[in-house]
Order: sequence, then C-alpha cells, then structure tokens
Amino acid sequence: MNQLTHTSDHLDAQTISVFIDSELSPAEHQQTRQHLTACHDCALRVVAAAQLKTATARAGRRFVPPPESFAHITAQLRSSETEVNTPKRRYPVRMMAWSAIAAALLLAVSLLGWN
Amino acid sequence: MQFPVNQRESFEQLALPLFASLYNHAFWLTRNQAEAEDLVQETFTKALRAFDTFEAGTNFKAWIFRILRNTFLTSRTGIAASRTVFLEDHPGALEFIATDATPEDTLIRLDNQEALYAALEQLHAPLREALLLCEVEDLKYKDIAVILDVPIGTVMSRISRAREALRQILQSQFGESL
Repeated sequence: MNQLTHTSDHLDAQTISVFIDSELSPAEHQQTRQHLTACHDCALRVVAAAQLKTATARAGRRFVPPPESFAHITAQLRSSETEVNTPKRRYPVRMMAWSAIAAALLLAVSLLGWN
Repeated sequence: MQFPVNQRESFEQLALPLFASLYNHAFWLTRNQAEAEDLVQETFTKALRAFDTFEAGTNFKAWIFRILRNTFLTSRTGIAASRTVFLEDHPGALEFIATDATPEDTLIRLDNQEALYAALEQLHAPLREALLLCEVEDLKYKDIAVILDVPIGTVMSRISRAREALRQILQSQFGESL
C-alpha cells in the first residue's frame, strides 16, 4: 500500500483489512496504531474485523479428504519411481534362463521326433 | 514417466503435508468431492513432473497452489466457472457501512459456523478464493498474487471486499448491524 486512506477521520475498510493481515508497511502500521489509540470507533472495527478473520479461517477449513485418498496419492507418487529400487539385471537374467530351458526342451523334442 | 527416488522423496516431504489444505481448497473450487480428489491427484502428478523447475528457497506452498489453480481453470468445471462475469472494477459496490455493533455482538453472531459457511458460499468466487488463501492457508499477499496471477493491489482489494461482503451478508441475515 502506498498511502493510507481515511474517510471522515476514520480508517477505511481496506486499511483495516490490510492492518489485521499485518501487511501494512512499518510506517503505515505505526500510523494506524497511533490512530487506533485515539479512536474508539476504529478500534472496535479492528477488533470486529479480527474476530471475523478468525471465524472465517475456522469456517473455511470445512472439507476433509476421505482417508483413502491420501493413501491413493502416496501410492500414485511411489508408482512413478525409477528402476533404482528394482534392479535391472533381475529381469534379463530370468529371461535368459527361461529362454535356455525353452531352447533345450525344443531341441530334446526335435531329437526325439527325428529318432 | 519415472523419477529419481531422491527427487520423489524431496517432493513428498514438501507436498504431502499440504494434502489436506489442497483438498480443502480444491473442494471450495469444484464444490464436488470426486472432482476435488481428481484435481488434487492431477495437481500432485503435474507438480512432481515440474518439480525440477521449482526454485529452492521460494514458497513451495504458493507454487503448488498455483498448479492446483491452473489445473482447475483449464478443467471443464473451471472453464464453466470462468464464464461468470466478475466486475473487478466495482469496488464501490461494497463500501464499508458504519456500524455501532460491539465486538461482543460480532462474536455472538460469528459463533454461528453454519451462517458463516453459508455466507462464504454466497461470496463471488474470486473474492472467496483470495479470502480463503489469506485466512485458511495463511498466505501472504505476495504469495496470493503469485497463485492468482494478479497484482498485489488486486489481492488487497479482493480480500477487503470479501470481508465487507461477508459482513453485509451476515448483517442482512441477522437483521442487525455486524
């Protein structure tokens, strides 16, 4: 905020809003605090705004994810791992073994048929 | 697509604690449980894919919320929602109305969670979204500006207008000053 705006010697709604979010610059914050020490009306509005902020935060936390959806997301993330956890060589070695057994069986059957 | 285990683990450490927050925000955007779950799931997938573009030291929460929001905006529901006209340049419509309510009066009315929830539902979506990122997610204006892809002044204005609108809705509901 570049400049604090006041209406009829009171803080405007946006200044109060930014003040309760602690987003005013240090100079503006100090200026607002100074005004609040002297203005009962604005002080009440700041308190009411802060209460509305707290209540909104409570009401806004309304939707809770179903328990299974967290497990689902975790499983989904873990299914996208690299082969680092699953050694590459196991698959080719096993394939080679089965290929050798299949070739031997085929040869044996062929020899028996020829005899 | 597959990712190095270390990268996936670093991502999980940052992203999984935000799961409930992302789901809550996704539900507010989609208003539907199944769509909210799908949106969060897609967000996690996209965020993991793009994780190497995340700059260490910047705000991860703002980064992943931005992915969630962009994913929503390009979804069917998001495109339909974006057709609603939002009059950004009419801040005067929600000027502050002077009240003489005491903080105690306010507190009694705000105890009514259902009334406040119903009031939140009535807010215009862009105002509600900025307000929820501020109140529920406790994000700073500069991070909300990144997520919403708007100037910080717009964030400031939307939050202030959202609060005024809430106040007015609650006031009309209870028939007294709030």
